[in-house]
Amino acid sequence: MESILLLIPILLLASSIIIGLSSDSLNKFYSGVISTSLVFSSLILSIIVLIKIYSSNDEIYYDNFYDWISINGLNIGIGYLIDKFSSIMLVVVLFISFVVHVYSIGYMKHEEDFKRFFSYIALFTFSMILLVMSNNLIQLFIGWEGVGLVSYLLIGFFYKKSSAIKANLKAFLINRIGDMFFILGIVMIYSLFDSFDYRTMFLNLDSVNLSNLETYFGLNYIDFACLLLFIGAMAKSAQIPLHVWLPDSMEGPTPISALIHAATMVTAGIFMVGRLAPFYELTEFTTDFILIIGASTALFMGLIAIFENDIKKVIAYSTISQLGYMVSALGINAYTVSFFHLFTHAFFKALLFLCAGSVIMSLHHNQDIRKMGGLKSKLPVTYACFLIGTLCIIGFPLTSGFFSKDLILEVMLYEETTISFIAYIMLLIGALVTTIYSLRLMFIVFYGKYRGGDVEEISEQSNIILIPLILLAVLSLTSGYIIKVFVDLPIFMYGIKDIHYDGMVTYIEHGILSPATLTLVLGFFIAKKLYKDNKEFLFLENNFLVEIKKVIKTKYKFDELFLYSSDVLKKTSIFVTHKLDIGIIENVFVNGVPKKINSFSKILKKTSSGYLYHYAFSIVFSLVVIFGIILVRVL
Amino acid sequence: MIANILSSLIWLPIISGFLILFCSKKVSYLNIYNIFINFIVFLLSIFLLINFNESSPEFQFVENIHWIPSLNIFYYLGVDAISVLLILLNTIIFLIVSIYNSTLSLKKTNHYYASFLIANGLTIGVFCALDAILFYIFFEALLIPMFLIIGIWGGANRIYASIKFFIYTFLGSILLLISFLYINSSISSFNVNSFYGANFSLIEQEWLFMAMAIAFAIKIPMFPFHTWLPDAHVEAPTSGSVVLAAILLKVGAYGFIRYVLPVVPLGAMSIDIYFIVLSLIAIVYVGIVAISQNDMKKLIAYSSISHMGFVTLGFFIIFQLFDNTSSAKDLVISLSGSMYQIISHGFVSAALFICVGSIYDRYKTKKISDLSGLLNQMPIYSWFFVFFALANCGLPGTSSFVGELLIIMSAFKANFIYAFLASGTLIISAVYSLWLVKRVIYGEIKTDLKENLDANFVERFILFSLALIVIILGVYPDYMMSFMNITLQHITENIIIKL
Repeated sequence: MESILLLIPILLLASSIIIGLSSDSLNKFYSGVISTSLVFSSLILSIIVLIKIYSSNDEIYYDNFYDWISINGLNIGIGYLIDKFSSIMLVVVLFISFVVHVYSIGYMKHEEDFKRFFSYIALFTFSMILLVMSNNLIQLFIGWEGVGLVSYLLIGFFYKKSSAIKANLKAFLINRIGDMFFILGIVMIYSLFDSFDYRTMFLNLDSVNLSNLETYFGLNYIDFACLLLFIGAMAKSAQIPLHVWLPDSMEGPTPISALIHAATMVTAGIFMVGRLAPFYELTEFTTDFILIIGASTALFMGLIAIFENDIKKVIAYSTISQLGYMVSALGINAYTVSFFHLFTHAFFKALLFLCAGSVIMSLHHNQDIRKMGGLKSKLPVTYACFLIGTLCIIGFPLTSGFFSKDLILEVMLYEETTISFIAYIMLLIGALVTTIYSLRLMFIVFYGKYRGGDVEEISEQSNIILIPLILLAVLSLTSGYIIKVFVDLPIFMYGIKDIHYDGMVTYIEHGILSPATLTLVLGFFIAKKLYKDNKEFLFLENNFLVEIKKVIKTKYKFDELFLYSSDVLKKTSIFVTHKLDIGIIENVFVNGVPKKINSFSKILKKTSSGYLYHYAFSIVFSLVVIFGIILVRVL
Repeated sequence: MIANILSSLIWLPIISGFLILFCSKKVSYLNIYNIFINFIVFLLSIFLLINFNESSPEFQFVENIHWIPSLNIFYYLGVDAISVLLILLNTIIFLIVSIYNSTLSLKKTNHYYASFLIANGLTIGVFCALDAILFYIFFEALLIPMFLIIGIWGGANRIYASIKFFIYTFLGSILLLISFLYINSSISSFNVNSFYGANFSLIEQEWLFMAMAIAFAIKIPMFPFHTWLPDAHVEAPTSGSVVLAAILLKVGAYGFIRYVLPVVPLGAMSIDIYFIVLSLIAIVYVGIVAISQNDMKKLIAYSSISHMGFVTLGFFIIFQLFDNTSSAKDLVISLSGSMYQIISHGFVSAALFICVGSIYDRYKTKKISDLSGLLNQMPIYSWFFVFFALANCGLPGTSSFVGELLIIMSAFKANFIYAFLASGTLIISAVYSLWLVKRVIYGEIKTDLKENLDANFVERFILFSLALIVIILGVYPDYMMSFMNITLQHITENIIIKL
């Protein structure tokens, strides 16, 4: 087992290094094939692991590959902890990565830096695998920063474009803000247990007296530690207000958008909270905070998507919004429910992105939906796949999104606290918003007339692009039916939350009769009227709604906030350099003291002028003074 | 051979350095000679590493000879694990510098090489001298070659920079000498072991601590004694900057761990808060200053100061850790973090200065605003630059992460605020490193030079070796951690026993 688990990351790392350092004589296509087959082998191995896990009785595989640091009092290993939770995640990550690899062979074939791209995505998958397999917080952090690094490289893939290199810097810095808090959270947890190891921590959790610990800013120890860890997750999983990097990350090539947004990177935050569930069980304040952040992200980021005109950005905002759903579920300690949505979302979001990539390619790199339209007949396969993706994301009955999103809404309703009820309402409105923006995209891109010029130039892409789409479409439709697996999924050594689940049929019936279906129908009519038939609703011209629309279109000014703070940082830097470092330390002390010495010595110099009468005068003067003093004393 | 290995390590480069002054001026011979000597020294240090017994806390390879008996001064050499590691860092850096120098065309080549060879021997001397006066002599003598390197082969404003460098560090050294003399006057010995055994009153310790701490704080340099460093770096030739950043700053840090903390721990403990604050200022404030620098060398110089802030933070929080937990292992972890940071920064800063030097050789400018889009013209070189910039911001998998992690960990055990400010470096270092990358490496090319400019064989070799070291230290830190663990435990015991 250990050798299989070791091979999974090693194959990916090997792929990255081989492709990255290979000479020009290795041709593009073959390097793509080598890379893809290595990822495929990893995928097969991870499926073997999954099968072994499920065929055994709640067995957990746990060991270290090697000691990272092992000195007296500090043991950190690089190793693995494989249970049901992480083995499912492994398969999902590797599967999406594999699909993206295949797709990229087609999508990137004209790029000069084809190999660099493949090297990056293999490294990206490697980092994510490191994170998922990890058995301790430091390895988690290494993988965590690793995905941040590779996303930086991938977003800046087109390094000549100034927008791309701005976006990648922004992505890295925002992630670093999260990481700063994340590492603080890690060291807080460490000092509680004197260990980074999950197993040691969770086993000792009961023996730690939590009530006697210090408090920070009025929060008790574990609340604060969990809060810090979650701020890290907010940056990675793009929650308000640290979401600003994600829409800009669309500057990277489209396949990596699918990779980043579907199964890797953004889901790292969700995975981390799930992994550390035993801590989050203990904190009420932080889970409420998580719930508020998640629900507002789900609603408000979805609203932005309604007014976006860039096909990739619409999907990007929808990702943020869907992540909001997952985070909300974490906020009521429903980790498995959140994980279920992560699972289904991985397939249909990858599908949507890859479809968008196919559209963009067919339209010669046009991403503006105002110049699209009527592509239904021109790109039939892409259209069908995109339709499936859309149905999943809006939660159309019997698709995968239906199962997972409904489950979140269900458990939210059953929580029965004030805050969870408010969150439920927000998520419900969010579902309406999701329906509107998804169908809007659908109608504008695929229905109506083509608005971009000559329609004859458009043709469907090659099979290497379409096969991944079909594969993902099938899984998007079916992946919801294994809901039972997730309902029963144990989160590391702990039992599962009681979820109302009485078999598939009841669940489907119940789901169809829920308020979510109402939002679906309502959303469909609104979207159809507005975007398919191009009819205006009179009530939308209401002043109040127009104002709201303006606010939404500014994207709530979060980008400006970020720009402003980076500007402040730059100005502070210039200010302190000139005033403090040069102005005070340099000029007053370092160069000032020698100057003072110089001017003092100038005064001294005057006393030794060399003129005899100066000396004679001073001798006489001194004598007079001395005698004067003696005289005064004597008298 | 093995008995006198330390003397050989010290005197071989110094004597060869003087010999090279009388050698022929033919550059190719000089290059071979220079690289050969540095390589031999490197092999000797590897030999030292292999034969060193890391499970013993005692000084090893000891050479103890009467030198000036009337004044209690001995020629006393010996190494423990931290000295061995620093010697190894030293010989690797000097070997790399000697290889890099062979690609340059300079005036007075033999004098230049001589300065470096002599500096090499003197630094090794600093790291193995166990007699305070001997240490002081090496410590002071080291100034001379550095002064010459900056003053003769430096940039336009080299005279100002070299004199500032000299006066500044010399000022500190005087205080150091006075402290050593004072200690000798009460225990009549300059032997380091007797220093550790000596007991001073609190007030004596405070004064001794202040005097010695200022001397070493200037060398490291700590805020607010740091302003000599950016000037010295800007004016120094590339190889000078490399030695300055990778080796010379470490001499100050070594001084703290060898002569200050175990000798006058009570003095350090009573005013450690000021030094903690200064370290945090170095990390945060100097990091912020680095952001807006337009000269690449200045930027890296400020970032060096900021990183050395971690080293001193790791040194000075140990007293609070002792107060909070009174278990030796937390102190050892903190000191390990500092040592790791020292070694790691040596390699990363050396690589960054070589990168900047290579840009300067080609474009004749170090100004960020004059450059853009180097990736278009010199891809291999640029990827190295990106790699080392990322290493500079402490990315996991590179050596810089290990030290920072351990220090943030220890800082939290001392006080949450320390850890909070120290972890601010995650953001600040990313801002200055990657903003630099964005402006210099990415984007469209600005100055188009027609020739093929990418890294030549020597540069590739150097940068690749450094990158390899940085990755190995980052991926498998256990080797070095375990290597120095016993020694650090021993030092910690020496500190705790006096508290």
